[in-house]
Amino acid sequence: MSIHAAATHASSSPFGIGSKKFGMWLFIVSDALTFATLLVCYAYVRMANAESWPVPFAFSPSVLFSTGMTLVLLSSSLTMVFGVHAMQHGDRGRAVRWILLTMMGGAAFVVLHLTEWRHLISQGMTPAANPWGSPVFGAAFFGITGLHMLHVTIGVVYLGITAAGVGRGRFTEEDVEASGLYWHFVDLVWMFVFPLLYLMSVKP
Amino acid sequence: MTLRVWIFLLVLTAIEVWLAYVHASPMVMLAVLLILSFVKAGYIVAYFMHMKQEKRSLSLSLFPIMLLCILALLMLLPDAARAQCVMCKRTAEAQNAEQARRMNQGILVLAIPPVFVVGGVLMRASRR
Repeated sequence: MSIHAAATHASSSPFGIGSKKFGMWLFIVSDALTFATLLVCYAYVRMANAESWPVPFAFSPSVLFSTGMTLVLLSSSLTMVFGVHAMQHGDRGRAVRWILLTMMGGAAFVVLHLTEWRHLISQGMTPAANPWGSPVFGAAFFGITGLHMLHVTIGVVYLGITAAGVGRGRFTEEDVEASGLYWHFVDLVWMFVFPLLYLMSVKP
Repeated sequence: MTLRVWIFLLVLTAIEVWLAYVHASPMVMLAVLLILSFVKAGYIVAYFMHMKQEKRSLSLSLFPIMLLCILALLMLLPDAARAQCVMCKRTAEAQNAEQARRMNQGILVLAIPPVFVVGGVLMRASRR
């Protein structure tokens, strides 16, 4: 069933979209505002503590790891799109395989991220203190990246449930699209977190 | 198309990382990074989330209000530069401790009407 056929079928519903997808879009907007709030908070405390804000991220490993994480997440979004397309063409087997690949991308992201966290923690950085400057730096960094990592982890579980449901023939195209929307949203948040948290704190 | 968008996103990411090592002022870098991030976000929403194929009414219902909320958040930022709201800070600095305490109480009392208004609206709405 093509996406256009699905849209026609649902054209009597508001915005011509299924209720599951619409619900997911509403959640995405609310969650986007949550992250926006956190990022504005980060901007606020950074501006208010500008003279003591550290810029400790060396190219290796911090920038290298975080850039790698960005590439992994972007690629996992690509595989998710392919999974949605496969589902729209009725090919459940391929859809499951693309979703599994997406999950692997998400898991790789979390492993890389935790490794990077461990490196920073080993240097003495905590949510309440760090050896380089303003204590709020750690709170902002761990708070924002931690919440994002939680979203990625929940996303991997969500995708696992979706893959299992698709494999068993119990989930529809709309279910896969909704999980795809969530996964792209997680990627989208990272598109802001990566430049604002990492690239703005690169060691000169 | 999907593949081309993906490659475009990778290229923008490379530009962003390169930018971090160019010796631009933080303000310039922030502006460019934000613009690039919004461009990336737009492409992800349009082509990966298939917003381009949805009805226009969906994006018109979701995004303008979201933008409004973000602008409301950003309105608070100038205070960071001044470290506090100027009027309150000046007034508080001019007071002694007892007067400052009274001023804090005054600020809290002023919060009561809005709470009642919002509570009343919510009660009316939930009764339907």
